[in-house]
Parts: sequence; structure tokens; C-alpha cells
Amino acid sequence: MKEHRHISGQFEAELQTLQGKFAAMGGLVEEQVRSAMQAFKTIDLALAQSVRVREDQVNQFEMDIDNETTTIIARRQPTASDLRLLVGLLKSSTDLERVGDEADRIAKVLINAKPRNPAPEEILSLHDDVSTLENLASQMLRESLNQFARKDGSGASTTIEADAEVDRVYNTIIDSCSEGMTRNPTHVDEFMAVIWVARSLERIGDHAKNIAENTVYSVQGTDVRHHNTP
Amino acid sequence: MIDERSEVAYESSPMPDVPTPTSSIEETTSPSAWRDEDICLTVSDLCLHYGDNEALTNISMQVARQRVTALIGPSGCGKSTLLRCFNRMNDLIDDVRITGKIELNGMEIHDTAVDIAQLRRRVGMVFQRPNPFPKSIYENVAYGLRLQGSMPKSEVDDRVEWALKNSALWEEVSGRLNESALDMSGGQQQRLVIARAIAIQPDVLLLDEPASALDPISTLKIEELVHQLKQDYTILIVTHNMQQAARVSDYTGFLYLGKLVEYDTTNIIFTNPTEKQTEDYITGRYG
Repeated sequence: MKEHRHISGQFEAELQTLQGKFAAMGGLVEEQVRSAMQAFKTIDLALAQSVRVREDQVNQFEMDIDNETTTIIARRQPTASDLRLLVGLLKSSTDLERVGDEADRIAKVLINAKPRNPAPEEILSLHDDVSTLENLASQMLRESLNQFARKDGSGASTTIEADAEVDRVYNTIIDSCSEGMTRNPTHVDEFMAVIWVARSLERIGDHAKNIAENTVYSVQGTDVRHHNTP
Repeated sequence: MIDERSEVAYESSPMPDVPTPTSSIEETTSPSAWRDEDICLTVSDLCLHYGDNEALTNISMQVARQRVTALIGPSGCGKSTLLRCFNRMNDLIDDVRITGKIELNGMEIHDTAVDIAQLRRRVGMVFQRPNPFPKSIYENVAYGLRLQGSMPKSEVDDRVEWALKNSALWEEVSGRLNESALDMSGGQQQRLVIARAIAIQPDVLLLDEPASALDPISTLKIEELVHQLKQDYTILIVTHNMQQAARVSDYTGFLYLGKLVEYDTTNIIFTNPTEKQTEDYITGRYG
């Protein structure tokens, strides 16, 4: 349905500026995840360090979006789709900031790791599953951000469903790590590093799912959270 | 004088004939789920013409008992015209033709047997600009009571005090009841007019832009008063101020070009309206 412009051009501009800022934050956070995983896979400590440094920018985005959203609510008293958009932006920026935290956590895992060479074959083979998990979580994140920007509620519903596959792959990795640690107790640290990274990727999937749920709420006004909660 | 009586005595002796039936509906209950006993007013296929100009087109809605219903819409949409239908104020205008029905507690208000003065006693009205009579504060509130016939002075005193207390004005004016109402502030005058309306204990209160001429603090006092009054009265409020409608009402109807576009709980109207026209209006977009 065609969306009319606000009579107040200033309000229209404020909303667009805020959405632009959210999109920029999303781009930065996606880059953080990509860099953190690249650093982990190639054991690039300098890259990991740069992720940690950029984390401040992510935090600053969140505070700016919070501040501007609060100002718009106070000054414009938005209603209906405007109100839902702002609530969606406010909550989604919190999720994005937490995705940023997970990227930071992955970088920290690498920096704090004490790699032993050569790593057992079992750990190297796990990296394929971690890459699969990374691809799934990154795709969820990218699509959830695109759907929020495009106000694509039905696409967001598909993204919500994709989280089940992320959880499945994550559980496979955890099971493999548990068994591997039993067989190779001297490499517990390496297995734990894989678990921490997998855990962060799984959380990124959860946050992407939250953003998709916020999109459904913003666009359709329906709350689709906790549908599987008894 | 009534202000010589103790407050405790008044608190323990509520006015007789205060409407007592209590609406059982939750504020979140959709109008489609109301039971018959929850409904105070029923409008069916109401059309109103000013000469050849159709101002209201096939309005059908129900108004919940002891709840606040707001009518919103752009200038000229018919919201004040609709409000004035409920106590037949439009009868005073030449060349008005009304078809359809309005039932007040099951009584068709256009029925030839209906006494209009009696109808307006049951359906009180407050206008945009406070319109106190050029009399004392006391006389303003007692005026409607005197029109109802002779009543012992002590009873008039009781009702005046009750009405002033229930319009959140008593503490401000109890010591100067004989002073002119015209010396009060605009906000006080509007609450006085509400006191005058409720002194005769109507079933319904119609408020036509009751706070649009008031400052923000007086506006909040009126809104708080509306919130308290709904415990006893069915209230319909017309307002240009959408945030006011959002704050004070339980149900909201959006009118556009004489039609009731959407009518639902205020929560739904202001967070997720069904109709695009409603959405565009309340979000301030070009329609």
C-alpha cells in the first residue's frame, strides 16, 4: 500500500534520518561480525583487535538512536505506524548493539586463546560447521536488516523461521565439542574457543530473529514473539 | 451556608439517585463484544442533512455505558454535528433533516413522546468555551436544580457541594460560593460548567472540545475530571486534539466527510488502526 508523506516535512526528515542511522549501524555491525569471523578463521590478531576498537562506534550508534528516538517521541507524540516504527527502531538498535557485543566477544576469544600446533584434526573439521553457522547467522542478520528497511513483514516471517536451522547447527557443534573434549582433554581450550564462537553466532541468529519480529510488529502491528512459549 | 457543614458528613451521605449501574466491560473489549447491558446509546443508520448538504451519512455505532468515547476527525467531518444529535441540539437549527435512530437506554430519542427538556436533562452538554451564567458560583450550579421544580434549600446546598466536589472544584471555591462565576479562571469556569451539568445527574455527558480554550494545566485537570466522571456517567467527547483523545478515552471513532470510518478501542485506533484513512489522519499524513 502506498505510504503518504507526513504533512510535517520536518517530522518526515527526522524519521528518515533516524532510519538512515539505523541502516548505517546495521552495516557497521555486519562488518564487525564478518571481520571477527575472518580474524578467528585466519588467526589474525590485528584484525581481531580492530574489531574490539570499533565496538565503541557501535555503542555510540545505539546511544544516538536511543536519544533521537526519545526526542521524536517527546516532541512529535507519534501514533500508529510511526509509533510502531520508532518502537521497532528502539528495540532493534538494542539487538544490533548486542550483535556488536557478540562480534567483540568472538574477537576476544581469539585474542585470549592459546593455540597449540598442530590442532587436532577433529577441531579443524569443526571449523566447517562453524562456517556454516556463520553463513546462516550472517544471512539472517542481513535479511532482517533489509526487511526492516523495506518494511517487508512477510519476508521477516521467513527470517524468523530460519532461526531453527541456526539452532540445529549450533547444537550439532556443541555435541561434537562435548565428545571431542572427552577424547582430547588436552585440547579443552581449543574446543572451548569453538564453543564460545558458536555460542556467539547462535546469539546473533537470535538477535536477527528479534529484529525480524520487530519488523513484523512495525509493519503489521502484530506481536509474534514467544509463539512457542507454553 | 453549605460551607459551614463538615466535609465528613457529606462524604458519608452520597446524593440520592446517582446512576449506579456499573459497566462490566473492560476498556480493551472491542465494541463488537459488548453485551446489551453495557450499551448506553445505539445509533442506527443516522443521516443528517443541512438543506441539501449531507453532513452525516449512515452512522451506526454503539456507545458503552460509563466509558469515555472520543470522536475525532478533521474540521467539518461531522463530529460535533453527531455529538449534538445525542441531545437533539440540532433541532434548534433551521432546515435540518434527520433520519435513522438514536436510542438512549432503549428509548428512541426522536420519538414524538419524548420531552426534549427531559432528554437534555439526561444528556448534559459542555461546550468549547466555558459559558457560566453571570451569576454567583453557587447559583450557576443550582440553576438546573431550580428548573426541575421546588427543592428544599438544604437539598440544593447538598447537591451544589456534591457537584462541585465531583467536578474537582470544591477545594478552590468553597470559601467564595457567592462570588461571580465570571471572576473565575477559564479552567475553573469550564469545571463549573461541568458541575452545573452533573448537578442534575444526567446519564450522559457530551463534551464538545471542552479543553480547547484552556491552558495545559487546566486541560489536564479537565482530563483528570473526565477520567473520574466516567465512574458514574457515559461520556462522549469531541476533540481536535488527538493526544487528548488518546489520553482520556476508552473508545475512539474516526469520522471523515460525515462517515464513521473506524470505531474501536482507543488502544487499537492509536497503535494499529485498520483503515488507511484513520492511519493517515492520526499520523498526520496527506490523505
